[in-house]
Amino acid sequence: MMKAAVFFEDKALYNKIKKYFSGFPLDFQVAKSSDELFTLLSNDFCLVAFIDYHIQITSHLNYSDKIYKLSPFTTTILVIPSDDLLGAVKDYKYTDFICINQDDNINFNVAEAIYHRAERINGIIDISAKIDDSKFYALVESMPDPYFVLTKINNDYVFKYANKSFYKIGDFQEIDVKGKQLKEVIGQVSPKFSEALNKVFSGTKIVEIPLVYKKKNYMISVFSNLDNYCAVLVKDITKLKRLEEARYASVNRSYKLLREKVQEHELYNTLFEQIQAAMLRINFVNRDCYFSKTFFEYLPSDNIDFSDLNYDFYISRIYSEDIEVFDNKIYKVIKNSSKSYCSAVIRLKKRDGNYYYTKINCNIFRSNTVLESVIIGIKDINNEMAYLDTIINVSNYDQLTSLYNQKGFSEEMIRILKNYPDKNFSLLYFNINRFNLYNEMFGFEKGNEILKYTARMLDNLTQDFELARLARIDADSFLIFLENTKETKKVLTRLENIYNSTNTEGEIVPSIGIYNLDKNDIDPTLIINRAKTACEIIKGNYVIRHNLFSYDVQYDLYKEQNYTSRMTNALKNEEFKVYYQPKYSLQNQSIMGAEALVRWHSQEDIISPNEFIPIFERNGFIVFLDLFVLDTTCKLLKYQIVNDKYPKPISVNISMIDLYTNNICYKIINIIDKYNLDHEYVQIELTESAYTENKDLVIAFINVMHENNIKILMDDFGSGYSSLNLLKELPVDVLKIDLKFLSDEADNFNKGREIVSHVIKMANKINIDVIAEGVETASQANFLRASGCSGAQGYLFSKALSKDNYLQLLIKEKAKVKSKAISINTINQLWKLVNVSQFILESNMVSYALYTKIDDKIKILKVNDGYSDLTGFKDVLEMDLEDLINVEDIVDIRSAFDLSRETNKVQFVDYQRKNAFGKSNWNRAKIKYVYDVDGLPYFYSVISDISSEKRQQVSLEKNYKLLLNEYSHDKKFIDSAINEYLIYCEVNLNKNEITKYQGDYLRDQFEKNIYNPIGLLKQFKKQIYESDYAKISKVINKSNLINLYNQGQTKLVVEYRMFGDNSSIIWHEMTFNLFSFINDVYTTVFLKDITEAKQKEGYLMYRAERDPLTSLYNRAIFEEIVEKKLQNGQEGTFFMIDIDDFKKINDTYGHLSGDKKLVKFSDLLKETFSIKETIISRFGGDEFAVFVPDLVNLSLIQEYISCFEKNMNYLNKDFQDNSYLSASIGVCISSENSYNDLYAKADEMLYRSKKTGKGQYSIYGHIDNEYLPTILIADDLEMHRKILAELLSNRYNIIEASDGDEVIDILKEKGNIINVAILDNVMPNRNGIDVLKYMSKDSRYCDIPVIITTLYSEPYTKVEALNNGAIFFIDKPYDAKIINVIVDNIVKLTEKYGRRD
Amino acid sequence: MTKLEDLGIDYKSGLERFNYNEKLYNKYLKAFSSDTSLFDTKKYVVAGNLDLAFKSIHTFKGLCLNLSINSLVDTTSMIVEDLRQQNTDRFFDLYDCLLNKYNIIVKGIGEQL
Repeated sequence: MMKAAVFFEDKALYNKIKKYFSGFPLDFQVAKSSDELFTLLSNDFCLVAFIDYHIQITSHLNYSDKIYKLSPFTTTILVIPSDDLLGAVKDYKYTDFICINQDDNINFNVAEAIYHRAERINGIIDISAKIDDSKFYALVESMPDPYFVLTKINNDYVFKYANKSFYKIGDFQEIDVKGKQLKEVIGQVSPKFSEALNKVFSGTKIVEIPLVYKKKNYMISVFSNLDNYCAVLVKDITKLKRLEEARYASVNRSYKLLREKVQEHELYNTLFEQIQAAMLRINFVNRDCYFSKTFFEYLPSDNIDFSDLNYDFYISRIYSEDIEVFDNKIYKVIKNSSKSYCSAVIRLKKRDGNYYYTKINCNIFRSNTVLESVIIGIKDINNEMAYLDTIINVSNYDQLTSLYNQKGFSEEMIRILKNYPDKNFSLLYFNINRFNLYNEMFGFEKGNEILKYTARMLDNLTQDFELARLARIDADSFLIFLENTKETKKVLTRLENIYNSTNTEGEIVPSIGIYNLDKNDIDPTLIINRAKTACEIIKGNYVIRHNLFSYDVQYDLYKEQNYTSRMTNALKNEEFKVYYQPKYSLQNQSIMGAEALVRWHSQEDIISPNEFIPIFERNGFIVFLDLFVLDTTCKLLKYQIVNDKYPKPISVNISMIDLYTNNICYKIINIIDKYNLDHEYVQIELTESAYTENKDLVIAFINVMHENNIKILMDDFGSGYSSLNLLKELPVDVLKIDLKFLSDEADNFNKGREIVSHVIKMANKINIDVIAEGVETASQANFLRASGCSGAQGYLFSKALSKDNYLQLLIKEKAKVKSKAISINTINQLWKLVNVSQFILESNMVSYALYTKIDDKIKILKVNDGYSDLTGFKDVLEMDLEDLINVEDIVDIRSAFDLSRETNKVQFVDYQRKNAFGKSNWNRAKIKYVYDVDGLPYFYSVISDISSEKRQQVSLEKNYKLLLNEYSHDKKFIDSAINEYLIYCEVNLNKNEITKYQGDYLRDQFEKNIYNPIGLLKQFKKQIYESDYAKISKVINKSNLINLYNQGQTKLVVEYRMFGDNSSIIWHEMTFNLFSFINDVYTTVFLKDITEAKQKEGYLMYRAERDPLTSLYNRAIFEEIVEKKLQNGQEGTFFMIDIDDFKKINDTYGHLSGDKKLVKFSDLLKETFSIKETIISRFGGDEFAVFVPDLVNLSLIQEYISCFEKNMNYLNKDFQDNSYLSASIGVCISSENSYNDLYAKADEMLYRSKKTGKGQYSIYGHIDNEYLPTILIADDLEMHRKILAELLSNRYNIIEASDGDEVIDILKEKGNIINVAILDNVMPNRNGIDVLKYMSKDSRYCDIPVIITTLYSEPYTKVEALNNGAIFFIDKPYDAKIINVIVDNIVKLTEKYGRRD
Repeated sequence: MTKLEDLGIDYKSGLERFNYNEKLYNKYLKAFSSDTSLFDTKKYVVAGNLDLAFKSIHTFKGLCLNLSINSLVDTTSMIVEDLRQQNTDRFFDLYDCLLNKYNIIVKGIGEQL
């Protein structure tokens, strides 16, 4: 009987199997658990193992694999009910299936296979018994597999028997092979087969070999248990093989897919983890999502199903007003365009339920226009936007009356017009006549009251109108916007008379202009202007108080017609003049450019631009005028350039109307190119109102201008009504703020300033320069400069100038600068002022230079020898620095100089320069602004050569570029996310092979047969710090990493130091992310240079930890370190060292000399205690502390001290001022003490040494006891005795007694040596006072000073004690300090004068 | 060590008194519960030996003070003064009150150290 192992959950299934196989020679062994099953299989040979398929499924254990390993000849059979078959047909390599269908029939082929297998094994065992057994032959004859028996005669294999199936496999004739040689029958015997036969004939029981014969695959089993005979069973496995190959291929395919997926997942997870921003990656192909952690802030909860991330979900997280933006700018772009990038500012809901402003950037990846994946970055810009919101809020209202200002009013008006398209509205322009006069007569306060009163009245009058809106503009004008109904007329009448009741003088009279809105009216400026025009006409007329606007208004019409008829000729006759208003840099008050403005000097009169420009805009003539101004300006610039008249950029105004003209961009560029001008000389100013009219047109225009390198200035920023919102979208380069826009509210001056400074800050934040217009006072200019405004124009600096005056101004400015001759005196003074000794300055140890800045160029004034050595240039004086350096670096250099001047701080800048030998070197300059002398700024700089550092960096950068090239389609993203990594690779730890790596840096190393980063580290072993290498090599090795992973750790970060060039220190950080795939553990490795961060950290730490004079640790850090060491069980010795009489040295030789000596002394300490881990601190003044870890040996300590003393001798010989230093030392060896304890004892020892004399030392616990005074302590409580003993035992011998009787016994014995007795007042048998009384009677002890211990609250005991001869008393609770002093003093007295008196 | 301070032990000043020898201080705090002087006091009062009772409670007071167990000092002081005057009128009330506090302290020390 053969054994069969069975492991079933389903009893019924087991019974079926048992029943079916009842005819087989099988002995069923039931296992109750998988462990039992495996034990069974490893102890006994089982022919077959039947496993309940469900167990396989639920336990996730691949039984067939496991069984194969345990017992390769066992056939594993999973028993599956037929209805589960589909789900079960998965690939298990060594498994057969038995399928039991509903009729309980078992698939016969399988059963047959088992049968044959059973026979085969039996055959092995019984080959001798059955060789002549007819029954056996009957069986093998019918076997489907070929079977034959060979015997060995004279080294030839001879057929003994072959079954019927054998003849079928080849083209053998059906002849009897019996007695024939093997090679005769089958031809050439393959080496494999003959090797197998050899083995079997030399004693091996069974050999199985795969064999290909006539293009078919066979598995050949050769077996024998009989000398000279063997049986061969041939199994055709061609089909099986094919099946297996197919299976293998499919496994491979899915493996590959799975692997890619896992890697992608790992990559993104790793990347996202490293970056702070919220990132989301959606892969549309396989419908995957990856998030960075921060992204979860934007989700309602952590448990988000990916499938929830549909359009509706996104919409639910977006602020309702922004949905449209999201649709147009993000969603549609991703879905329906071919763009690869989009972005928008959108308010998103975070976890806390509030909406936050975010900037969303999307990188879209498409392959052949099919959407593949999107990477979305979300940046919280709420803080930036919060500025905007406050500004919008403040700037929408008039501060005085709390009515709207023009901006807020306009917004409201537009909103209402949009929402109520069917209603008729009127706008009333209400102006108080001669209000200025009134202000002058009665003062501003009264004036303000009138304004407030007016606002109140207007509010009252219009309160029945739901849609009425009120505003105050231009100081004394009000706007009333309301529905045009029958009621409106009544309101008008009452408006005319609102001052009648209060107006005693009868002088205040309003004029009201009325404009009934047309259905097409949407421009608020236009609407207001019309009402205003209507008002202007009757202004000053005290009889007619209101006027309705109509297009027939004579005056307007006349003006318009008049100008229109004259304009063409005026252009021809050169009546239009271009004026230039200079713009000044607020930093150095130099001219940075100008704005071109147009004036109309007609023969009759000078017409203000405010008058003709609106008209020209209406009739389109403005286009010609603007181009004329541009042309004139270009002509001037050309003239300046050709004649070297200091050309500076000039900005030209372009009207909105121009943008509607065909080819306006072409025309503009054409004009500039006509004069062959550098485009940077011309700038374009667009009025803010232009943006509101047709955004898209404006943006398109700006984009074209930007492409042509022409800067765009936003004019009149703040005067329009939606400028702040627009700033988010428009790519302008410069903002121009009109100060008039805010300064009209004189009493809210501070608020205005606040707003302006916020606007500037905000603009600077988004890299937009700000130029202020209308700057009239110096205080305004100062305020602007402080706020970070870069330029200004206005009357304070210069009014608009004619061409000639403008040119003259430029020449004058140059002359002014040039006339400031740089005096040699100044240079020399500055040179000496440097806080470096002359020695260093003149030596070549440092490269040092003094600069100034003239005409925006940096001139070298003086350099030291080191500078010449570094650069190779000897004669650089008066040269422009910019001529010596790489062109690309000029901007950086300039800004470093400017920044240093602005911030008054040292600035660093790296730049390339060619040295005198033509070699390009990297230099780093530290630049420091000194101050202005005669209007010129002066700078120092120290220059160092950083070429090698840079070269290294450049090569690393190059390597990095090759990093991650496999993910090239995501390269853009990866570039931005992990550009700080030097190496990225992935290692299969089990197989010890690199599965992925990036960069030449590694590739080179791999070719040198270094298999992984761990090996790589070995390569660099010499460069890595020894201690660091020891540490990391313990952590970074294959088995440890696998162990860590098996323990559940997935991430490991190690840091180590390397020596770079010039023995600089390089810090590397290696991050391992561990994950497993199939059966192997992998790790990704990121290598990052963290030197800079470490240096920063280290420097700060150093600063905070060190004593500035000696650079030893300060006391706090010393305490911290030593305390930690002690807590960790570190042993060691604590030295307290104090320089004797240091005060005298300070007094005699001065503090400077004292400081120098301290430094020398600290160096001596470092030298003496030069063991690596020693911690040395200057506690302050002349007191030092040293902790030497692991030093506990007394003789070694004494050696240290004698070494110290020797060094002190050398030190003293070195001093040239005949001064002599000595130091006292207190030593305590640690024995599980706390820090405070250790310190106290060492300090105590120091104190003791000092008392003994100069230059002495004492070691705690190693003081000669014979000479110590003896103290008797008596207390009934052991603890009280111990406390006292603890305090005193370091310098006294202690004798203890627990009651009065014992005291007397001791006195009798040792009374002569006791210096002091400390007795408890209350003791059993005899209390302290009783003992005192006893002692006073005996002459032997009466001179022993006695201290009585009492409770502090019992003064009478103290008195009693003193009366009875006690010399002093000690209070309970004990105070260590007091006890020390009392006992020490009394002992001292006894030593000096004897025990008493 | 906040917990000990919650119990009314002024650990900081206690430590100072022990010359910052934390080990020693903790050792005696732990030993506090093994001191019998408080129970001896009651024993002696019951037995009528007020002299010994006084000595015992006096020792106990010194113990509390030296260990900075301040929360026991007030009641102990009252008993000390009473017994000094050989007055036992309120001894048992005070004793019970003290014992309550004593138990809390002993339990707390046991938990903390």
